[in-house]
Amino acid sequence: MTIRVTDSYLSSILVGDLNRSLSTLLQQQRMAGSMRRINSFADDPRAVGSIQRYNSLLANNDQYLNNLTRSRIIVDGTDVALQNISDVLADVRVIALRESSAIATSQSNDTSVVEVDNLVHRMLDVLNTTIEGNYIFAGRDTNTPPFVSSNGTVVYQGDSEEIRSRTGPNSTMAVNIPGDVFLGSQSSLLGGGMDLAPEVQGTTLLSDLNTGGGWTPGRIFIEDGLGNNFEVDLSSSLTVADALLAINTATGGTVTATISSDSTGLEFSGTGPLTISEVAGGNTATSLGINATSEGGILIGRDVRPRSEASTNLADIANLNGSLPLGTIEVEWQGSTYTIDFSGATTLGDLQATFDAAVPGMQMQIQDSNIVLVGGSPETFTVVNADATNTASALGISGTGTPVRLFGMLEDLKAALESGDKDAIRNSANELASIENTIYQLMMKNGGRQKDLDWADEILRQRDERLRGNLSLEYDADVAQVASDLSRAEASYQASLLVTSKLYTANLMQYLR
Amino acid sequence: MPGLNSIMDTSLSALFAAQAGMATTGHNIANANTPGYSRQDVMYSARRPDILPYGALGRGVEVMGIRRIQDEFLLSNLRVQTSRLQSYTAVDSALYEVEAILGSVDNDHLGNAMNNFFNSWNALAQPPMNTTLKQDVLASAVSLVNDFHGVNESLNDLEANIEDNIQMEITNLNGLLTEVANMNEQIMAAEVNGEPANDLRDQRDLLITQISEIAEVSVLEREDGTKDLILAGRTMVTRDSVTLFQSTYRQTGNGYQMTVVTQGNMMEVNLSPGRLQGLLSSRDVQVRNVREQLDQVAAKLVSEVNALHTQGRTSTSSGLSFFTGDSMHTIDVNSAILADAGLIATGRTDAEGDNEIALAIANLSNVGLDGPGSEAVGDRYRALLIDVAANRRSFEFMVQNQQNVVASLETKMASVSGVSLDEEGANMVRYQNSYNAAAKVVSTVQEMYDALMNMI
Repeated sequence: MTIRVTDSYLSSILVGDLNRSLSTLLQQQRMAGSMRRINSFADDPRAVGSIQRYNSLLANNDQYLNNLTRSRIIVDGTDVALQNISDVLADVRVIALRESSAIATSQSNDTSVVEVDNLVHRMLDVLNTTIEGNYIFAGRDTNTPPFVSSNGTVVYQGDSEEIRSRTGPNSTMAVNIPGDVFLGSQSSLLGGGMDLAPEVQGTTLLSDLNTGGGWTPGRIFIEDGLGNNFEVDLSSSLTVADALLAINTATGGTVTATISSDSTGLEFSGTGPLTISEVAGGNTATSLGINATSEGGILIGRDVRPRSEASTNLADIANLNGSLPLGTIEVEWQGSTYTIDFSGATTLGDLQATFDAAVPGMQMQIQDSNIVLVGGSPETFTVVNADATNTASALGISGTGTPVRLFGMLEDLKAALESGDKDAIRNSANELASIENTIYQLMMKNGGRQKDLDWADEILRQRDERLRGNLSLEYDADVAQVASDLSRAEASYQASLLVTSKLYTANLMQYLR
Repeated sequence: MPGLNSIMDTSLSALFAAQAGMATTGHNIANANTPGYSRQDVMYSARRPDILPYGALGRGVEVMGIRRIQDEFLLSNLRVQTSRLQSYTAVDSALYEVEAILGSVDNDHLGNAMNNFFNSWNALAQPPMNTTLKQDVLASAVSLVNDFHGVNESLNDLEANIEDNIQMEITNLNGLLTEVANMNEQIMAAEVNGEPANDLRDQRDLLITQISEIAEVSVLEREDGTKDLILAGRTMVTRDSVTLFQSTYRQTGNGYQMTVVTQGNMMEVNLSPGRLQGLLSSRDVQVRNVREQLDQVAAKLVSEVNALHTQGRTSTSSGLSFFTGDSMHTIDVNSAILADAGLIATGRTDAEGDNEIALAIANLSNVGLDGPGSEAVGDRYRALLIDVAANRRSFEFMVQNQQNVVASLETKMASVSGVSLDEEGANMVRYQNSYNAAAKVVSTVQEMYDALMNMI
């Protein structure tokens, strides 16, 4: 059927077409002007939620990076303080060795007494170090000087609590060392001699790896010696098994991923050399400890084990392989002997509960994947294996728990120097060795925190890049595409205008005479 | 045998017919751009012939009437679709306002204020502790509360604007209904002799179409040419009598709200789609939905922050709530904390370095109070944004689709009822030729008369 083409019909069609062209042109101009793919909620509702989330995550990430900077102030300050303590102890050692030798005289003893006095004051200054008005060795009682001299004896006024800082969306870390560790007036310590971090298993959550620091979801690139290469997307993996399955499926068996034989990380086998690297500036391979190249056909990743928690199963701890089930230990404490049977324990929490219930006044703590026994007073205690299972040794708690008498040792040394008792001076020197060892362990612990901060910083910066990348994908316009679309929309609009002007100029009336 | 006078009379009818055609063509051309105008057409019929012994002899042409070309089915459909378009447009406009109130895609005010609030807690929790940062927490909390109140006031303003528009549309609708009743009266009078009042009918149809933009209307045409209008199931126009609408305030679950009732019996009407119904829906569904979701966000924020803060203590306080209120407009910072930021608790003890509570509150930006996997305050707020965005998208899409439907129907209407200048030009030539030919016949008859006279 022929359509009656009336003027209003023509006008309706042409104006409609013009409006459509103009609307498209306007949309393209908005995109070109803002360089944003989305300029209104209606443009992409799903992306609106994603953009808000990415912006929120980026703001949080910035704050975590600020946290790291602030945490580093305390950790670095603690490092300097521990180094100063170590220097003071070195000076004390020189004095003790000098005055216990045959060349010591009563005159040199008198000089040494003054020197030790000065060193005590230096030590007090160091242990009362403040950062921005916070006493860093006071536990959580940060506005009170933790170490004060009272009647010739130094006492600790802080508490035993750690202060934690948030270093990521799922992780916090302790940044301080409560000062009671330097002063045996409150406790005796034993332990820390066995790494009890759990093994990496198929069921291990990827977010628990790296002592709880987690991983960066994304893609990795694998290349073997035959020139095969594979890009594997691990972003949807939740557990180690998921990640291994994704890798082995992608490589089709050409390169095989497994958990390493010592269960501390991942291992790859194939035709060497094997290279595993990041994809497009990602951080996935690094966070899984596999960003490396092997010389041969085996590539073993670094230690990415999770952190020990109370819920950690004993059976999952590599260093307890062959020691399970655990047996019995004996603790001598305050004149009593306690026999503790760990045979029913299946988790570290079970060990803690059993120990704490069995020995009054003592506590079992999990510190940085180690077990530490803490006596609630400065008296020594001993822990021995009570059966053939060698449980105390297996847990790294066999031996004598001694108070760290930093100032007590200095006071004893001073008294020995004043009396000229060379045997007492030697005893102080021996005790000094134990204290130096403790300080060394604390420096190691603090150094570990510095590395953790570096690691967290790297993860957060990678996360920042990834979030910005994802935000850009959701939000930013493709410049080339926008330029092309804009040009096309302009041409389309101009064509519409041209056609409209031509059509309106012609009608029958012009030809009637 | 017909006489010359009879031939003259036949030619004269042709002249009149051509004149009528030319006049209608002129009328069509004159109204080519008149809104609502339907082109008109002259209906011709051959006059009844004279019956003579040798057959029926034609007596010329007769103008039977002038009709307007109109497709009632198309017009009715156009009105229904126009009603829907106006309804969707009203809701789309309201959602556009809601989007503006919430902010832009990359700068939603409340989302930023919440981020700042939680990050200020994060900074406060960060060792080495700096208690002066409690002022920052307080400032960010006040800013967040002000943002909630600001959004609440903006939504109040939006609702007030919508109600102003409802009032305006009711006034507009009443005016149109009254005009239709007046038109009915004029048409009834004009058509009493049986001739259709084409132009008046066009004007009335245009008014009814304008009414359909405000509310969907059913039309019932009576034999006397008048049209009854039925809105929301009620006959509002009967011949020349009209019932009007008015607004009133009635108590609802959400306080006193403007509703639409019929004048006189004050019966509340359940309007069909149209601009008026779209405005009511914007207020009662869209804006209310946003308000309820924001209330939930505020309530969750208050309950979760308070659940943690009441566990904390300072050297001079313990168990203090951080926020008061439980909705977007009642949320506020506890007046005691407002007066003294030192009462902000960072830990469960009064130790300066105890940051457990501050850490836990800062972590509410990541997870809910029930731990990993539970919904965080930000998640709930994000769900609101996505909901608003999805509604915006949905209504923008419906408006675009409906615009296409209406445009398509308008185009069809223009094809049927619109004036074509080409067509009118051709008609003009046709009527001119008819007129010329008829005049030639008259001239010839004149010559025949002259020949006859010369014979005398």
